[in-house]
Amino acid sequence: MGLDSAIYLLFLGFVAVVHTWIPGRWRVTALLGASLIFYAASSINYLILLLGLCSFNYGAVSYLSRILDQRRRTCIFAGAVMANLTALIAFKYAGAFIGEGLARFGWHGQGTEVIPWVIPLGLSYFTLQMLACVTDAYRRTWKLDQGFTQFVLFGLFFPQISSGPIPRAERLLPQLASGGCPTAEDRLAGLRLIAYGLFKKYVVANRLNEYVSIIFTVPSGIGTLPALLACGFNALQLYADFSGYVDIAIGSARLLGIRLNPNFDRPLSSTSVTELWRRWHMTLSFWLRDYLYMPLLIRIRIFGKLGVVLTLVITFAICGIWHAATWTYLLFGISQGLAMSVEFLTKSWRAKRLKRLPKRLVAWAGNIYTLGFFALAQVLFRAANLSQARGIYSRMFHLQMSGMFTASPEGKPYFLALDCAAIGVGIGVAFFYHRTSDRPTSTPWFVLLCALSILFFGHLGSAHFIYAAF
Amino acid sequence: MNDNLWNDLTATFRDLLDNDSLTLTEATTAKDVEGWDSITHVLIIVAVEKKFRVKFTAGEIQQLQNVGELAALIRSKQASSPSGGG
Repeated sequence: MGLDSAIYLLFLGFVAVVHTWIPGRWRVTALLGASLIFYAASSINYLILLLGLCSFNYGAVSYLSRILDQRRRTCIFAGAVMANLTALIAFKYAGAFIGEGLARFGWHGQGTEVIPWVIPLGLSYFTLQMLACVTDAYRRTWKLDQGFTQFVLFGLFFPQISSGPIPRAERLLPQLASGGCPTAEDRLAGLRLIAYGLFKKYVVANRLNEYVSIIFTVPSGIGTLPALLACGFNALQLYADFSGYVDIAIGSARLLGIRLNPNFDRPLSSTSVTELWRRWHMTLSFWLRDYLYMPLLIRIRIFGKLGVVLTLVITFAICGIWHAATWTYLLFGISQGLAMSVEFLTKSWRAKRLKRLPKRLVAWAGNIYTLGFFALAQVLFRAANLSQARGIYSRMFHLQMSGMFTASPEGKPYFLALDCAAIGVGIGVAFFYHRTSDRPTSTPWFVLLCALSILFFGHLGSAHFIYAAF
Repeated sequence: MNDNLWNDLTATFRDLLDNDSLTLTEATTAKDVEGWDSITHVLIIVAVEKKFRVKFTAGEIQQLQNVGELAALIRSKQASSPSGGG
């Protein structure tokens, strides 16, 4: 059940109505029931897996919150970390390798089509969420005060289980334990976000996807400009797609009176790659900072600047592999770590050199560099394999003025005007959204604007959210 | 409050953050100071360890909430070391 599907919106509407009408003491149970149904609609078998992991983590966190003996606490902590990572590796990475291996040896399941390995919905996000819980309890920065039902709801809360935002127990668990009590303002804000998310998905992301997917799948015959356009459109598509999903997720929770952590803070305005990662997929960035980067850097701090560079590259290499175990994601992660390392090493040098230049000019130049670098790196993120990424890069930098308006070598006409119109409408709607964000009464007009935009410009295809694959 | 310790601590922070007018209080946190990010935080810790000839554990570093707690940790480390610290 994708968050952009009609069935999800009907499901959400039903849950919101029931949640409003039932007595407050039943709301936790209602939200848990809705979350179980949502997950079961994806896979009943994996629901059992996640319930098992929830129970295990609840036991570990309860123990860590109660016991004082440091040796036993360390054993429990290490065991819980190992168990969560084993589940992730077994079902996400090993499962995918086994599935691929079976397909290579000719096992095609029933019929002739290869049955792809299905990764449990949201397992990558769920694992990070549980690792954060266990670590916070071990560090004594958070203590479990809620019961088993609330903890399972925290693990499986349906708006965020698919692809985040990755929650922190100290902020989300108390809210869920109260069952949520939405105000009129919450409901209006939730509706606005859901409408905005659907608009981003259908009008901007799906529309751009048409052009980008043609360029990425056509092996040859594409000129420099279409390749450059596809590179830029791809980055825009990913932003619209993922932030659209996040808007729907946060809006759905807000409709129920629950506030999830923000995941984007105007990333396209960043003036460095380092700043971009503080604004892009923030819940993942902050997770990496708190549970991987800082502990690692503190341990190897004796190496000074070299330690910082090593930690950045290792952290972002793991970040890349977290998406999937492929060379393209690994290289994507390493490229981000290296860019941030260069920015760190040249920070003082740049500050001295650029001091005399106008601040606005420096900010613009930084923004162009950041977006350009990120768009180039996103080719790796999108490409199916290294050879496809190499093909796109070679076409981008091998000057060939052809194929501007025809995106396929067969000459199938494709009008860029539609994509440009989608971007134009996207900018207009984004402007309206931010100008009216402090006026809840404008919500009906904003929802109408999004609905009309989707109706006239939207591409109601079946493209799933990109981050649902992770 | 040990004035020498506080002066040395301020000098270390000013040097690392490249800010000669920086004033620290016990309640100062990373959020209050421009440029004090996660990387700078660890570099400050390294500089503090060197300056005061102390060694923090990873757990102690991760528990620190503000400059006051850092100063208290330095004092406790210096008090417990045989030489009385630097």
